[in-house]
Amino acid sequence: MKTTHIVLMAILFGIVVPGFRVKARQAEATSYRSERHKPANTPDPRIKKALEKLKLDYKITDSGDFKVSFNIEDEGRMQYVFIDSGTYTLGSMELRRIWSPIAIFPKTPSAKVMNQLLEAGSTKKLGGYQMVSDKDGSCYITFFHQIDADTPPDFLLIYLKAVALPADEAEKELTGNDIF
Amino acid sequence: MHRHNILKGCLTIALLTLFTFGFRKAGNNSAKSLEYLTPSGKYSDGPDPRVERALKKLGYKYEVNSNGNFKLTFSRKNGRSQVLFIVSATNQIYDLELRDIWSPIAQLGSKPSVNTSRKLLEYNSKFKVGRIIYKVLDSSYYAIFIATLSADASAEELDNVISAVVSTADDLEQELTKADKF
Repeated sequence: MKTTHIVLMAILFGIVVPGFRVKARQAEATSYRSERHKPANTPDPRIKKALEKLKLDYKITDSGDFKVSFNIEDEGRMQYVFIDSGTYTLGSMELRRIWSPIAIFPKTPSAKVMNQLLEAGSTKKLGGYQMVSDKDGSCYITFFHQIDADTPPDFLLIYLKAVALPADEAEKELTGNDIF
Repeated sequence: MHRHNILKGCLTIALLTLFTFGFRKAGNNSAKSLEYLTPSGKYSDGPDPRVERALKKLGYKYEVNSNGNFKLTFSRKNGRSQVLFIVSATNQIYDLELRDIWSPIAQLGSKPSVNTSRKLLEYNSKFKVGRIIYKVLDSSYYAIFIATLSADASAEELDNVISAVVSTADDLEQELTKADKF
C-alpha cells in the first residue's frame, strides 16, 4: 500500500465520518449596530390609539415619546415605561424601543453590579439591561426591549408589563428606592 | 517485509484516528459545550417544525442537536465564521409566544473586567434588535448575543433577525477577543 493511498483513504474517511461538516457558505450580513435613535418629536398616532384603547394613562414627553405609569401589584410600588415614537427598520421589519428606568449612578457602577445586570439578562424571557453614560460621568441604567412598531394593543400591554416588572425589581434591589 | 506492512497498517490507523478525532475536535470548541444552552432554561424534545419550514424556505443549511435546537454556521468576512442557535422550546408570556435566537460572542473568564462589562452594557443601547447577556458555565462568564422574536415569525422576519444576530455577535467577538472561536 503506497503512502499516497493511505493519505487518500484517511481523507475520504475524514469526510464521511459524522461530525465533519463543511461550513455552509451562507449570506454575509451587514452591521446592525446603530447610534441611539433620534427623538421623533411627534407622538406616533399608532401608540396613542393603542394606549387609549387600553385605557392607560400616559404623558407625552418633550421628545414626543410616551410615558406610561404602572402600579406594581402587591408591592405598593409604581414604575414608568417609555415607548419611543421614533421607529427604525431591520430589513422589512419596523421596530421601536420600549424601556423602563432603573437607576442613575453618579459614576460607573462596580463590576459586580454590571456583571449582575448582564447575568440577570439571561433569566428574562425578553429584554435586557442597558447603560447610557452622560458627559458628567453619571450612568443611567434601564431595562429595554425592541418590539414591532405595529404591535397590537393587547400585545403592547404584555410587553409594557414585561419591561416594567424587571425594571422595578432591579430598582428596588440596586437602590431600595421607588423613584421611577 | 512483514514488519513493513505492520508499520504501514499502524500508520493508516494513526492517520484515520487523526482525521476522525482531529476534525471532531475542531468542531468540539466552546461553542459545542454551549450548544445545549437555552438562555431561558427551557428544553424541547424535538425541532420546532415552524423553524424547520422557515429555514428550508430560506435555503439555509442547519443541524439539529439532541435537544431539538437548530445550529447554523455562517461564513463571514475575512474568512471568519460564526455559529448561531435557534431554540425550539418557546417561552409564553400570557398570549405571547416567544423564541430565542442566540450566538456566542466570547468566553470572558471568571471575572469580566469593568471596562468590558461597561462597554457591553453601553452597546446594549445601540442595537436595532437583541441584546448582550452573560451566562455563567463552569464558573466562566460567556458573553452571548440574543434576540427574542415571535415564535410564529415569518421566514423573512427570521432571516432579518438571524442576519443581525450573526453579524453582531461575530463583530463583537472580533472586537473583544480578535479571535474566531465561535
